[in-house]
Amino acid sequence: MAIIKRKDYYDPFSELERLHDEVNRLFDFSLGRFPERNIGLLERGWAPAVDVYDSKDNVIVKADLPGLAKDEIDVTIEGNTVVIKGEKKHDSKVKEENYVRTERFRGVFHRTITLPNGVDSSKAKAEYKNGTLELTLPKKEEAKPKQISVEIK
Amino acid sequence: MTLKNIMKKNKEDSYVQEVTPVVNIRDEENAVVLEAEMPGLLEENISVEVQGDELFISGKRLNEIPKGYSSLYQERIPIEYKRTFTLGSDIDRGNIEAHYENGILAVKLKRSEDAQPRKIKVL
Repeated sequence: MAIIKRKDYYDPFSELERLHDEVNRLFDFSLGRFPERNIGLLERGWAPAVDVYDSKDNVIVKADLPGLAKDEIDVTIEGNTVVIKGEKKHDSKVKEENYVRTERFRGVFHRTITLPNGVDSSKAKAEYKNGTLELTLPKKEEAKPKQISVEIK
Repeated sequence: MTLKNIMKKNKEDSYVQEVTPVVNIRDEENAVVLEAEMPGLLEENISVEVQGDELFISGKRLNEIPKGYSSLYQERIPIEYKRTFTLGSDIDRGNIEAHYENGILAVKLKRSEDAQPRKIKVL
């Protein structure tokens, strides 16, 4: 039913990448001032971590989007596909040259999530709190599980 | 503590992944500001501590599945953010402010009075 692949908790490459980051930090070698030049072992850009929860009536999608403003997050629902996109920017009030270290990702991100069934986009609710986006998506009537009573003669 | 309890505790601890949060550090006229990305935490689970020359920030997040729901897909695993910084001698240890908003922990480290640049007139 669901096409979404579950991510392994222990991804060996992410462990390697973490070690790489740690060693760079240890030697203060990372090109922290120029994140666009700071290429990891496996360059993957950035996409938010996502959870999908299912109940009889609703689907909940949670995404970690730290440091964004509400109007900078764009959510589109089409059929059973949810697209979360936006741009992570630096605080415009802060002068660029004041930064001595920038590790936080900056730039455009995009994440597509396939849901197990269709949702009613007109009744969808979105909430952004503590850097986490939470979407509550009511299922379409025909997608809800129904109990059918069978008469036995 | 029985062996069974120790094993149970170890299992619980290993479930929480330790993560080094990414930070931006900026230099302001009379302060250094540190911004750490730690999304989805509750304020009571965040700690900012100063011990000697070290600043230690941490925050724990247990990911609880909402009531009545089952998990289809889970990447937001239980996390403990941890990072230590060494403070410069010009930082006023007693004058540190922390603020959590939109998943960013901002720590403002003010420079002590006598460490701030002073203009000296040339006579």
